[in-house]
Amino acid sequence: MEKLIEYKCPCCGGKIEFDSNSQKMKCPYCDTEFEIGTLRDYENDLVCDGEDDISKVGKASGRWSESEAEKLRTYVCHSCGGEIVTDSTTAASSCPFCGNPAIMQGQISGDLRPDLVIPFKLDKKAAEAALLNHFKGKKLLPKLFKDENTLKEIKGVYVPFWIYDNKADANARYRATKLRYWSDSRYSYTETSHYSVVRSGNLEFSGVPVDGSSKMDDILMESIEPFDISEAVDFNTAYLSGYLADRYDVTSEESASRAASRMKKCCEDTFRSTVSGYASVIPESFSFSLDEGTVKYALYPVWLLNTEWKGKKYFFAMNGQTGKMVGDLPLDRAAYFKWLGGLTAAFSVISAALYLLFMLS
Amino acid sequence: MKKLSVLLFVIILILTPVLADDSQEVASGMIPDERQLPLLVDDAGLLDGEDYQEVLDRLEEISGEIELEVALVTKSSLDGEPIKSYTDDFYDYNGYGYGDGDDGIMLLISMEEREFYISTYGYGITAFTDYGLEFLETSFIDYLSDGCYRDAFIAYAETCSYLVETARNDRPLDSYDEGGDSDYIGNGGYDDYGNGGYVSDGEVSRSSIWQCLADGWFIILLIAFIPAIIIVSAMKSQLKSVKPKNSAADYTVKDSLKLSKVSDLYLYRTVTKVARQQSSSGSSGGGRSLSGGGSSMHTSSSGRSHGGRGGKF
Repeated sequence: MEKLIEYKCPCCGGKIEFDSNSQKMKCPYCDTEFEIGTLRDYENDLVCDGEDDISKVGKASGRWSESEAEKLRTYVCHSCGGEIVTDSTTAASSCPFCGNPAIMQGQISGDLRPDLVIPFKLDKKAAEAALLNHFKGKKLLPKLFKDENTLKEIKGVYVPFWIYDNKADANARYRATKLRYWSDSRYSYTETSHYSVVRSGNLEFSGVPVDGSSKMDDILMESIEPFDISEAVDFNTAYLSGYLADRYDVTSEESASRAASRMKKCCEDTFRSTVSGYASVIPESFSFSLDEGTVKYALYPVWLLNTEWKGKKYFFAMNGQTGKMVGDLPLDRAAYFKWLGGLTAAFSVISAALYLLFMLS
Repeated sequence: MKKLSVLLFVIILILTPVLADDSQEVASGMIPDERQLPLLVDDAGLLDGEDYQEVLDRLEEISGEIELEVALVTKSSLDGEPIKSYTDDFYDYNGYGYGDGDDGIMLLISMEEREFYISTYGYGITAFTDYGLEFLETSFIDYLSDGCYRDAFIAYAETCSYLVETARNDRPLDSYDEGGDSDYIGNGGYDDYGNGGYVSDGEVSRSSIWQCLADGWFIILLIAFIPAIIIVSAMKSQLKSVKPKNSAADYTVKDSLKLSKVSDLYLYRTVTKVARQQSSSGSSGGGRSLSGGGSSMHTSSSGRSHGGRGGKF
């Protein structure tokens, strides 16, 4: 005995009945007619909607060997609590986070050993030059900033990142419409055809980085992306020489949600881009799940700079691999209003001419 | 019997010309096809050579533009003849009029009687309603009385041009326009005609431009502000470079997108219809009762119907 299925109207949600006159399914509330097959297929579309599942994000597991552990030292800053790791040959003289001289020394223990490192490709000089370049071409930057700002700190730091490789499964359902226009002597007609569009599939990700240090501003770190993981090499303590490495203090599980949401957004965008040819597309449901993947612990090179101007500190970061420099600059309010006023005046001339042309013709 | 048929025959013979006259226009031989005289005839010698040429040029130019002949005749005396019939005849028998319909208007001035008469024919009758002719009169009458003949004639020509253009583009100026409707008065320049003053083109444009700008300064600034704020905001956003990256698009494995299900399922369709505007046949300006005065007509000696207006100056 077949189960009695009640179909809901895709247009208004009411219960659909079979209309013997037209031999089709018809909604008594909105009078829309449907083919029987259409309703069955639509039900199938709806069934695929689901909840997100990101439980299978991987776990990192590398461990330090004893000989390696001997070569490394950790430092803890008294004033801000920042922790850094470096090799035994490098003395950490000041905290890269707050500028205070770092104090406490300790041995590495119980920490995870990085799987990968992207070595510094650009040196200190390149970082300074890039900062000056960053100031160029910004019309609303106060003129004095360039001359008066004092570079307080440049530090090359290895920032800990959790790197995720995953295969993502997603199911997206949209409501789309196509339009058709025509007219006769008495009326203009608009026909709207409604479609249920489904895109289901998977997308692979490799090297999605999430900042594993609570001290490093996550947004700042995301701004200097992308990092090219193909240039990463197996970790060796030698790389730490002359640089400081920040210790991770966020676990990979905690970082996983950020990785997952970024992967999800990318899937949403990618799937949406495969829907074309419609007048309008409205997403109705999107479900996302991650297959078993891997997590790696990597150190990525970042140059941190801060300058001071008129008593305020400005922070900049440069990608030690690609050279991308980011950092918010101050706004010259006077220049802002001068430009606004000047441009408005200039456009007023054109606007007035157009207005007269329009009004006096 | 014979007497009766002869009587009948004589009666028919007498009546025929009368009947024939009623049913047809005058024989075409009496009215020339081509115009015999210039558009400006200055028998009274009111204009010197330069002014004459200027007025004649303007009349010809306007006549060409509006496709209707605007003519002007000055006479020192009419020798007792009524000015109305004199003007009509002058128009007809000298072949005035544009095109097949002989469309035109003629102003005739007689200095001795200090009388003027305006005669219209063809499309001129339609374009120049009684109200329109009154309007036309007021445009030149003061100049005429003051002896400023060149100014009077130019004003006459310009007003004729305006009235015909109005008639062609919209509808003939008539008494329902009396309320000083801005559609007909135009952009602050033409209402000067109604007051009997004639302002040169340059002055009209300049003052109306400033007036227009003064009215609309707020909108002008608003429109100018929009591109200005867009550009300045773009410049401001140059300064901010710290932004989160919400998509992992940089980290997708190339060409790894595999779609297992691609379905575009047609559900249903809806059709909406909007009633179209019926194109109105000839009616314009909804809500206005078109009870204008129209144009009164009279028949001239040639048998043709003219419109007209006369008076003293």
